[in-house]
Amino acid sequence: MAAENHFDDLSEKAARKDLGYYLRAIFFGRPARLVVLLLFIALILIPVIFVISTSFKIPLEIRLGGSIFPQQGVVTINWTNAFENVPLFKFLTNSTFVAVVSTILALLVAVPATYSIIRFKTGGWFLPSWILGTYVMPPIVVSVPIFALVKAVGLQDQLMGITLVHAMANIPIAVWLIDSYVRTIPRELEHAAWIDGYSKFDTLLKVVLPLIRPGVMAAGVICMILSWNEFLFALILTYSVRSNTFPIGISRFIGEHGMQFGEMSAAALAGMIPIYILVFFTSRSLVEGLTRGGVKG
Amino acid sequence: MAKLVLRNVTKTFGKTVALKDVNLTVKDGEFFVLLGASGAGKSTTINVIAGLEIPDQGQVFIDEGDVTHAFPQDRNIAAAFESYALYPHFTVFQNLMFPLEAPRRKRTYTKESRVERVKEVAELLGISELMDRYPRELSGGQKQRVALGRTLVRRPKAYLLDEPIAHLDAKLRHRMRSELKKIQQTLGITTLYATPDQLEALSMGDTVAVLNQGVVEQIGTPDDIYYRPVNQYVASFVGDPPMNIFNVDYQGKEAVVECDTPYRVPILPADQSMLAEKMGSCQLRIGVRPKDIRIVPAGDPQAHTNAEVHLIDTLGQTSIVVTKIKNTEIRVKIDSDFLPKLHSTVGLVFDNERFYYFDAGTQLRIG
Repeated sequence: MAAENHFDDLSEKAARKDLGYYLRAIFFGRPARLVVLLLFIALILIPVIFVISTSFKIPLEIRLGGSIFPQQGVVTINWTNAFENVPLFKFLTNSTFVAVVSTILALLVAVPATYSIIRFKTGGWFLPSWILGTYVMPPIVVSVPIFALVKAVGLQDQLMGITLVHAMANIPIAVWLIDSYVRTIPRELEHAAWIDGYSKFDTLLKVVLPLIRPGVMAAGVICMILSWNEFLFALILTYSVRSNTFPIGISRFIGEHGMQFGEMSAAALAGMIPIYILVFFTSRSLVEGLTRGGVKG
Repeated sequence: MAKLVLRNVTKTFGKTVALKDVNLTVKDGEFFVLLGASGAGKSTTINVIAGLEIPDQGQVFIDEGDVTHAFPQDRNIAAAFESYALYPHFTVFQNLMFPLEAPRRKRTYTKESRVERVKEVAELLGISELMDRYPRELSGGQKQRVALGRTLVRRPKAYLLDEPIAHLDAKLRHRMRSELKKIQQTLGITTLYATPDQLEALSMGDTVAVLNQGVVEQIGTPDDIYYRPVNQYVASFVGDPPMNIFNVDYQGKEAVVECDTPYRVPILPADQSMLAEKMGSCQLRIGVRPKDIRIVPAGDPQAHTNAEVHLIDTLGQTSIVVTKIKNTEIRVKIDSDFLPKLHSTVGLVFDNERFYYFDAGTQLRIG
């Protein structure tokens, strides 16, 4: 609506029909917008469609390359092979454990930390900028020290090791997402709770937390997605089926007996499903949580 | 029930001085009113006692204990703020229950006694029907009553009420004023009440403190504040409409009011001797309340001066008549039955028994 009205406003200028008018009409007119949108959607969806169709192709056809869609018939052999050759369920349970537990740990630290940083200026200017700094830094920079640390406490190739690292790595993002929610809460509410006899911690639990719950939920979902898809730390900290998360698991197993693209596609899709379901059911609060910071500053 | 004491409290926010060397004592069981315009430091005073602000200098005592640096939750006071501060995720009932359910009060109240207390307060404030509503579903006046209710459910050492009935409609405000006073008298709980409304202050307070830009101008009974203001600020702040104050040239038996067309007003013998004793050599000012001026027909021998009727503001039974002598305004409060004609010239008679005398230099009242 707004865009159309905007166009009406230009009617006076449009009367002159200069070059700008034609350029706008071509690039911002309704059909043009539709084409651009479809292009972007296709760009994002084509790889996914490709993976789906590959997982149902006859293995020989995959090797020959060719069209996106199966020409020689649809088979489920890649799927059955994937589940037979690759311990997919083990990887899925590993990844689920890591994602859920690391997210809970990250939130347990991030919620009180964010609250404390904003309300009580904990860490002055240094802590917030340091947190942002760790978020900006490429993870590969700390991969060696992290490996050394995890090994020093004997958690290498164990689920708890990768879980702790994911929790730590996700804290900055969680702080950053929860930040804008905490800022929207009037301080008077906390003052009232203190006077009503609640400690600062009880105030956080009983008054602040219920009010920032959408933000905490969004942060939690983001943390889970990031943990689920995380590759680098999982690669250096997990060596065996015992602790391999999904992305590492499939990348290693499939490689072991030649590049089985069909099996890989099937396995990758199986790993995508849980996280898609999660996002599907939480997309509303997720979108709200991610856009909030931009609107309310 | 407790005594509240502020000793030499100073609080600044950046360059703004919110409180400047404030000394206050609220006696046990007293209804103490902080009266002042917005920005006078009323809320800061309340926040300092509540523990939401730590004074830069000075001390705060509740009873004999120094609580200057104590946390709000350890002070056992209850407060209602002008901004309501209702918990948006709780219903009215839950809001009222919240102070009673604090972990530290788990032992004080049983579940039944809490509910009973909440019902009692809701009844009193006329919010029983709103118990299941959320704050966003309430009007401003209803929110304010819930906020007040959340304060009154407890029996703390003191109630701190920051303009708690400012957003109620006139009729309800009037009722709440007497209700609050009654509750306070029944419970005997020390109450500190901030308001910019002098009528509230004078009608409710046992003691009133007039604040002006972070300074306590005067502390006294409502009578003291109204009849014996210590300085020009208190005299003109209290009383509606404000007192008329003129620069005069004092000439013994009479004073010449300085304006475009100077006129003379006689001074009572008693005042003459008082002034002779206390005035010294200062520039004198005379203050006279609008109700202590009478309007007579122009040219009446009683009249001290003539003035033009500039504006008439009728408030039902009484009216405020703003008269002008050239550019000097004089406000007169009279019975609406005897209104002069607009823009007509009338005579003004000043009641010299009700004069207030001020030192123009120090602004202090003489006498």
